[in-house]
Amino acid sequence: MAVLIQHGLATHAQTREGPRMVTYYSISMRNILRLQRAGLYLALVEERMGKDGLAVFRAIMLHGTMSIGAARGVVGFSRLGAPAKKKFNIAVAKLVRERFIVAVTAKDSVTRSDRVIQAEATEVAKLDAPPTAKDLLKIRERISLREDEEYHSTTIIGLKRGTAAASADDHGGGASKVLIGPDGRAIVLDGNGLVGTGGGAHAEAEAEADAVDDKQCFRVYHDRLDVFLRNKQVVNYFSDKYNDAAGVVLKTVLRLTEAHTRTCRDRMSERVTANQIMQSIPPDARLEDAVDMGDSGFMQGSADGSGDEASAGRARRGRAALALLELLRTDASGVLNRADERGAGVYRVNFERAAAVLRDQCVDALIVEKHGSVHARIVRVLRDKQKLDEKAVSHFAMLPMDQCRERLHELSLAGFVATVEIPRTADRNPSRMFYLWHVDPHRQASAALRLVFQAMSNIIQRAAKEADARAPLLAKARREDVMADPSLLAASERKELRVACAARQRLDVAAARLDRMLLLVHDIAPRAAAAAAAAA
Amino acid sequence: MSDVDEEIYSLALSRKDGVDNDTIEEKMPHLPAEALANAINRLLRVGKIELVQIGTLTLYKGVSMAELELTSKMNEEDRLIYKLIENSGNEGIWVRTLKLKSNLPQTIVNRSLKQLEAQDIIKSVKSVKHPTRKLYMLSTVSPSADITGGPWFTDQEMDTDFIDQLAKQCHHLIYAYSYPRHNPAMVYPVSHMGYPTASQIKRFISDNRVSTVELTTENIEELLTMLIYDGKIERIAPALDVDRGLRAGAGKPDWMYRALRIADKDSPLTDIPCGRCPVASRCSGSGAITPAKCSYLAKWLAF
Repeated sequence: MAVLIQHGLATHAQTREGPRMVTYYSISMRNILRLQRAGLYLALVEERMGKDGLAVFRAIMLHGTMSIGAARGVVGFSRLGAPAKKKFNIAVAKLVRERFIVAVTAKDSVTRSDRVIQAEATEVAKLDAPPTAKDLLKIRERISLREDEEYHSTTIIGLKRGTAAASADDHGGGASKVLIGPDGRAIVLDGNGLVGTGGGAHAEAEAEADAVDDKQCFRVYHDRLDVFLRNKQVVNYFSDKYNDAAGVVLKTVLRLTEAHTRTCRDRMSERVTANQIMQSIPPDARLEDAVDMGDSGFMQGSADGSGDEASAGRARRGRAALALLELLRTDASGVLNRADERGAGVYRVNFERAAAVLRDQCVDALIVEKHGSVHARIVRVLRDKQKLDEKAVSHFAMLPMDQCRERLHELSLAGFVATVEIPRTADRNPSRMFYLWHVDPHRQASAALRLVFQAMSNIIQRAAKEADARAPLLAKARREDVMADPSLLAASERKELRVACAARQRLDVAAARLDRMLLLVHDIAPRAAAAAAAAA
Repeated sequence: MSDVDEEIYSLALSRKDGVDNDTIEEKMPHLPAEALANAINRLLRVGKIELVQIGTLTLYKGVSMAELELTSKMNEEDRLIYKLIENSGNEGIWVRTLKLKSNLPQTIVNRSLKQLEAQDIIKSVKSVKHPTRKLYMLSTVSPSADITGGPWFTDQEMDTDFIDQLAKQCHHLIYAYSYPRHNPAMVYPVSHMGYPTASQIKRFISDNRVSTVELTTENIEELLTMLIYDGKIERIAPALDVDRGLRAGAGKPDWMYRALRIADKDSPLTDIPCGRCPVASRCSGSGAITPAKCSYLAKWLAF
């Protein structure tokens, strides 16, 4: 139980029942399912934070909750010299600042509903008289507001700022202040928002000066990591739909805004200007070959015709970037919006739309696979037209009525479509009733999840069976002497081991791909993320 | 037939819907009302004109000589049935409606229908809307698109093969114009107006004789809407052309269509046999069908 709580897979709550204190435990299904995603998280951290960051992250992930001092010992930096320690500090500071890991507080292991009950009890105790319904409503609103404030706070717990950096910050007019928490640890409040969003030499120097409290325990912030995975999927969607350059442009927009995007609960991104986007597009991205501007003058070279290749190239690149931004903005999905017309435009990403588009695409692919493309067509018709009777569905889907009815019933059995009854008479006689077909995105998502969970469960069970069947061989292969000298394995054993590895790899890849569906169908929807956060 | 009768008859014949009393009086102001009434009565008696009631208006409709000759050989019941069928035009009339409107017993209606059908004066057709109903119309009349179902129906059945073939052709055409030919990885900017429209696709189909059936722009739009719901193409609103105003003419916008590249993206369930497993509903952790004992998974892992 202690291990489960340490890994955030279980939470507990104590309550007084008569003369004794009783402890209740609950399981976080969301975090358990995220274990499957460990590989994706590690790959992401390696891409963003490098090898040092990955080493620290992996240590914390393996132990669930860990102090930085302990992580230093596990990773092996404690035995190294000052430069290596500094490197470690920078990696840790970067992980904390970008919220890949977050400080663990005592309330993290308490079930959320119990935290709310406790907070409510504390507030009620402050009242002189028993609370009225109105008082209780106010108290609940206050608690919810406090939680929202905590969520939106720019405070980074566990990050101490060096004296030099702190004075520089004060000089710069930043509203930064250091508070001492109830446990005596330093809590830094930074009024400038998240640090480290600007990048560059200043940010690096600041990171060096930052020091993370060695005694502070940290855990992996899965909600934040899901944002990066979600962003990757959004980029992939547009790369597939248009081309890689369009994906690069959207990736740049997301990179610029992701520092302000905490979790998948956020519905809209921060605003970024077209200039910011154009300046941040990686120089190796080949935008010039991405948009065909035809005879509109775009391919005519530099505007002044001076023959300056470099400036002509820059101009071409700029126009291509703007054309791609416009293409993304006018896309039917409505993911990229123009928030303002200022300059070349101010853009923001609508995560709610992005989540809906990705979910629908994922559900449609699942329906195509499970039932067929005609079924997917029917679902798309209903998604677009809302509630329709059989005849109208058959008209839009261009299907004979009997085939359409058959397919609708198959989809209904699988939970992808539903009917609503419209009575023609007050007695609600079934023979005098209109039946309209419709799709409910939430029911559809749960039907899709059922299929994904079943497939994942099948894969996991099969992986266990494969491992059991070759248990003696795998145990032998893990022996230290065999690992040191593989020739101790017979040729047939080596062959069998290769087969086992290939099967394991295949099953792992299939599970990871299924997990991507889980992410798209369930985890990234802002409403679902907020509900999960509330339940955690 | 007197001159007056002749004049009224030709006037009634000249108008498809017939003429009313006021029009006749207006055209022949010199005639006294009594003479006019007598002439109309004579024409009605010989069946050269017939009374038609449209709302509160009574009209006199001329009967052509050919029809007069045809109906003169019929008895009263046959003539009544014939008239009702004729009035139904290309929509046809159902037997039950015939009985109701003629007020004749079912046996007489059936007998008349049999006689008229045997003389090849009327024909029976089936409607796609009500496949069990038998509709009657004149044998010289072609049934309306509502009855035949339009070009998508063959023998009252929706021709899905024809629809799929035509949809495939449309998709190919749209795809060819959706991305630059010299570099298909490129995309066109928002201002690009070269995406095909429904009328252009219709022209392509008729020019290349892709379909032997005559298709209207509305038919093509139906087909393109189906392709949109297949996730293969998307509809783009015509951009505003500053020099020429709206590109489309007044009224209906001329939508353009662009092919999508992500239409055939596979699902993670495609990778594993569980996606199309015929016994997936009976698969569980224990019992006869389990993932551990699954032969499909074994084959997949061995592949």
